[in-house]
Amino acid sequence: MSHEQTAERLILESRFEEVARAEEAILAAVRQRDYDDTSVFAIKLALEEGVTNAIKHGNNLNPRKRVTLDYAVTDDEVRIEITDEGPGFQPDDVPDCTAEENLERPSGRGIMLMKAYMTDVKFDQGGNRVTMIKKRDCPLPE
Amino acid sequence: MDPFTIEIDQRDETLVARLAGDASNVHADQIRTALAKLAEEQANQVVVDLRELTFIASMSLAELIELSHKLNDKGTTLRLCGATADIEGVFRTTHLNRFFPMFPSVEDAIAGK
Repeated sequence: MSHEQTAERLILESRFEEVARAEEAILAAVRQRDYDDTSVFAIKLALEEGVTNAIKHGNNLNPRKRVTLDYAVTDDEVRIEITDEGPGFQPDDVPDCTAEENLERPSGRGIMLMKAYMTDVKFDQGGNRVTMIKKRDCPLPE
Repeated sequence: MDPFTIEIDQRDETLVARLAGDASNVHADQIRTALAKLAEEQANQVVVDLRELTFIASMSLAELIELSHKLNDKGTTLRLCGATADIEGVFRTTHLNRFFPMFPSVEDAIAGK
């Protein structure tokens, strides 16, 4: 395994196809460092939900707005920072999608999945930026 | 990213929809269209076979919930089957395993056991 860090910035347009470009770049770096398939699945899921939220809810699919994706991959952890150009939001205001009364609602699962599959997830800049870290050895939820 | 595909077979009164590949948010429009078409088919029961599904994200979960509502409105049963450990984990994490009846195989799903 390499001990060098892969770090890069991608500027994404506000359209869903850009999720694939983000995944291609980050997952290639993750696989290069022999993260196991379950970790790759977790990182792909959290990345997909984070970038989708930024494009859809942050930038409201506005073609004039961009999503900035910074990432760093080492042998021990993957750090992903996603910043949109939208008005922001309060993560605590998002209803609990696992509550019985919300179980049949189609939306509201993205943030929950990010938090469940990554080791640490933090929102800042009024909800415009999310930083996610996945430690190699951190187990997934039971 | 793998492509997403859906194939539908009729087995007596049951429609079996085999989802395969990557049910990514990137493919959300394709998945929405395919499941909306499935909801319009006539059947007593719909079984969604997840054996070949390699990935699922929140927008596809939303489309499966929409499908369930539409089928429920016409009295059609929806059952899921064959989820891999990773896919089953997403349903369990979101507690949607309490909403969708999940079975090991198509045959088990058709029989409801």
